[in-house]
Amino acid sequence: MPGEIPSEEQALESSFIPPARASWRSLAAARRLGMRALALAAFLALWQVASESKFRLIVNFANVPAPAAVAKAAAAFVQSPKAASHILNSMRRVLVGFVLAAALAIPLGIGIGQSRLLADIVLTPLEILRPIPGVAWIPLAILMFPTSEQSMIFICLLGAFFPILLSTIHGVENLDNKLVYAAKSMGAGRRHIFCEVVFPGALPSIVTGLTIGMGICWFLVVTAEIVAGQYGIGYFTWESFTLQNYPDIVVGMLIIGVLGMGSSASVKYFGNLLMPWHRYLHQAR
Amino acid sequence: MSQGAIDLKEVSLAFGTGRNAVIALENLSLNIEPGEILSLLGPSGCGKSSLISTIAGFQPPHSGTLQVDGERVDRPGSDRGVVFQQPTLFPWKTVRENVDFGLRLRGVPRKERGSILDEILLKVGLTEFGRHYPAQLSGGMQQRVGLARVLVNKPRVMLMDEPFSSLDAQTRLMMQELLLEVWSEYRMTILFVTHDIDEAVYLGSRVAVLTRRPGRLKKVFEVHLPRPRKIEVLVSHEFMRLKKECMALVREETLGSLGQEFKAKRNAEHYRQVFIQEPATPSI
Amino acid sequence: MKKLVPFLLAVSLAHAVAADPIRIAIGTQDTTTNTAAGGPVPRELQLLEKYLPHDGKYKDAVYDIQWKSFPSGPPLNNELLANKLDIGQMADFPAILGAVAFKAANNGVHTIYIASLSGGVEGAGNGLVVPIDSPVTSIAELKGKTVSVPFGSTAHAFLLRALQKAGLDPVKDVNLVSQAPDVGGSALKSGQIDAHADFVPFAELFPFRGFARKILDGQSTGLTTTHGIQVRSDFAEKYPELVVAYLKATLEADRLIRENPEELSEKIGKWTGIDPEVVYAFHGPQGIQARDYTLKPEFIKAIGEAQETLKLLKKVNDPIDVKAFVDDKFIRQAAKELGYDYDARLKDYSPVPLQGKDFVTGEAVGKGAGQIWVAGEPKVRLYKDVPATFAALNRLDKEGKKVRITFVHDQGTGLKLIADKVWYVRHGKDLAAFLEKSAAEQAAKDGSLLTFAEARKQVEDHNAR
Repeated sequence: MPGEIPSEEQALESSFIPPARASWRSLAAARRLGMRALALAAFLALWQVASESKFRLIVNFANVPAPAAVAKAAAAFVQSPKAASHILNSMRRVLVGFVLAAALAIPLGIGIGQSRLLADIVLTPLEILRPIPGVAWIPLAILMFPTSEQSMIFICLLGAFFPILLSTIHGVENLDNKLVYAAKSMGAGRRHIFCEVVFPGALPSIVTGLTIGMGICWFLVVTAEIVAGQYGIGYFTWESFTLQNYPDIVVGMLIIGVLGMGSSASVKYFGNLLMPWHRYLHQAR
Repeated sequence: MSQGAIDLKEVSLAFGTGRNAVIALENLSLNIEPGEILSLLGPSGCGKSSLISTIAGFQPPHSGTLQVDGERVDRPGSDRGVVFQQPTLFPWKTVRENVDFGLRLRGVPRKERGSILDEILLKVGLTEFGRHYPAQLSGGMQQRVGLARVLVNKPRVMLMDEPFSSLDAQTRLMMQELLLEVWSEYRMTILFVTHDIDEAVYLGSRVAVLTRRPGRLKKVFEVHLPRPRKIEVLVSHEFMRLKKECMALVREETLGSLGQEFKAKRNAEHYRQVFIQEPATPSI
Repeated sequence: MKKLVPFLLAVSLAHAVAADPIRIAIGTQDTTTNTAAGGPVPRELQLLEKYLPHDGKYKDAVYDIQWKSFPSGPPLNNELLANKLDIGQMADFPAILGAVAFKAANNGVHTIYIASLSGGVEGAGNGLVVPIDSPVTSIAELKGKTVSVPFGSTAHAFLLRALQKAGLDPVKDVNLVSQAPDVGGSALKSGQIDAHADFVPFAELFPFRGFARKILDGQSTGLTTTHGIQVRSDFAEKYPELVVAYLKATLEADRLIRENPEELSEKIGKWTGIDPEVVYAFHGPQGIQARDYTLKPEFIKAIGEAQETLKLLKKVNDPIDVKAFVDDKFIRQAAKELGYDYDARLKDYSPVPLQGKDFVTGEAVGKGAGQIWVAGEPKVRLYKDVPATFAALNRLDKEGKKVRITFVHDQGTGLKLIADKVWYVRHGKDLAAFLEKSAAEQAAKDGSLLTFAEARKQVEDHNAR
């Protein structure tokens, strides 16, 4: 039963799944997949009908491109020679911005979580910068960096930085103090306490922050690529707006959505690989 | 070789500062013999956990002296292992890795560590669970790992803060037996804090009762029950006598700490009459 | 009985017209200075209210006038399509893009291009600038460098044509990047790009603000550029009188600017945030681009060519019929009601003439005169030629008077130039101004090539003797 600490017998069982239950589980999984596919198909059908019939009730579908038009534009995009360039350039900017953000935010977050002085000095200016939207950063980003690539990466970095920082601080602050005491009473010094207690203890929070941060990086890719429009899926989306090409705008939005979702899921997946103990925590609950 | 003698002289410990300061221990003096199990009883909030904390080195006393084997103690160390009420295992380490922690810190070479781990896991009965994560274990099993983790460092002193109170009755009994087994082999000093009077008398070489906050030593007395302690001892006459004395002492302090000194004083005589002067009939 | 039904219908129609407020939503581009007669001026001076009808069909009409400004054509197009705007104004390129989008939406509504606001028949108004400290002085030197321009705009077409004329392949020889004017401005300041091409007024604004230098004007490409007014067909069908009323307001705005350029430039500067000096460069007499309400054949051709270029760039797949897109009946009606001769104006290609008296000598001066706008003075001072203008500048300096801006005119093209940002060639006592260094070098074969500072100094030395 969920909620109780497993008894000895249950603890033994959890590491062993009898064959009958395995097949029942995969049937349930297949049903869920079917449900989701059905929901998606229904959504597309509704959208197609709304666009074609120019449906209007508060929300106006008269000018919203139908899924059929979007699909056609998507096919054209995928076949165009620039598609790969667009997608790869954006992925590169997002990835570099994300990695740099993590490299800055995680150590800083751990430091802030452990030192009140550091928190007071660093957090206040950062908290003022945090709510500033990406668009507002564009002029400064251009003025501050010698190349436009750097300006674009900077905007993505800003997006990922804050969720990673705050999650790391949260993970460190919410670590059970007793774990640190236990480590000390076994003779651990500062270095060991950091490497073997604080960091692994904060890791679940950090991974959550990384997952959210990656999503926000993609969220900002259109804004970032306004800085210099040439190649990039964000630029492509924005240029389609400039050219009043609505199906292409939706194609760009969808691609960003898919890439964002995929990247976040990847971060979560690799993060979970670093935390093999995590799945048992959920089981016990 | 006598190891693990703990000497407290006029030790005081307070939390917080100024007006909100809470005095946990006040001028507590106590000598713990090397190799004995000293059970510690007292009403809630009397400072039992603070005593553990200060001997462990988490919080040095504000006044008085605290010495272990003649040396001052002011920081944690693997010579004074702590077993907490909650298992406090590292969730991200397997059972083996949790127990291995202390060995690695002391620089024990890899080959030796393997065999030491096997030995200790066998002792606490967790051999097949070496590669499990704490979340996969029951409460009792986790506490066994907590014990193993401390034992592996061969500590002079084991400080145990209500280690079995979160376990069910059967498991608790098993753990008490395990502890006695381990202790009879290693003979380290054990300071065992508990609420459970049965447990205190069953395990202890001596039992100390603390007053209500600020904690001072109310009384210490010897437990003259033969070792090794068997379960049957739990229903013996001598056990009952000791238990009644403990109950009276603890109850007096408990009622006092609830602000009922008057009732406490009035009942003290009653308890003495009822419990101490009663004829020798075994109670069930 | 036969008359009752139509009577009831007419009453209910009139009642319907009177009952709900009639929305007139006009989209403007405040920062695109050459559209000032269509946007800020009628809006702030409330000229539209002056001409809206209150008789006949509109006897009890209540008007809901909404004005919205946008930095460029695309968001304006978006709102036109979404029926948040009834009337809009934009350049040839976005006008085509908007029309094509309406065709693709297939809602039974299309846009109509009903009047011009401004235009450069030879392409004046678009410009190419480089960062202020750049050694580049001609477009040919931009080979292998990064140039930004707002893609899909009239400036984009200008840049492509200019590159072609300079013998550069826009794909292979330069790194073309899309940046809107505001982004381009920042990029120029930080040196992230080597050059930026843009439409009115940025090629003057950025130099005036001190962080760029103009090296080429659209006039040298001969590619016509124009800004005009568009209206949704459903609004035009339902309220043609209101469309005419709006156009009348723009005609009056045009007249007011023509009669009082300094005063209106100040006001437009205040309303739009574009410095009045730069506004005056366009709206003063012999301005960089001519205000024009007529749909000249060159302008219509430019709209057609815009579509061709967009087709080539593969940005337009389903073209529209340009002839059907443009309709001059509304502007003709508006001109007629105000007593203007539309046909005469249609044939007239001359800009607002620069004429007056030389500030010093009092002699009549005309085309090509120098202009100095002194701080605190309501009108611009005129001078007969460049040496006279520089002599005046030197004098004003000594008097401690502050000069807001100085204009001269290009010797070859007649284009109005900001004096301290261009080249000079001296022949004896004569000084000629040139925008393009190459043109100046050509003329300096038998004279001397000077910068602004050098030319001023030489005039001072000459007069001191």
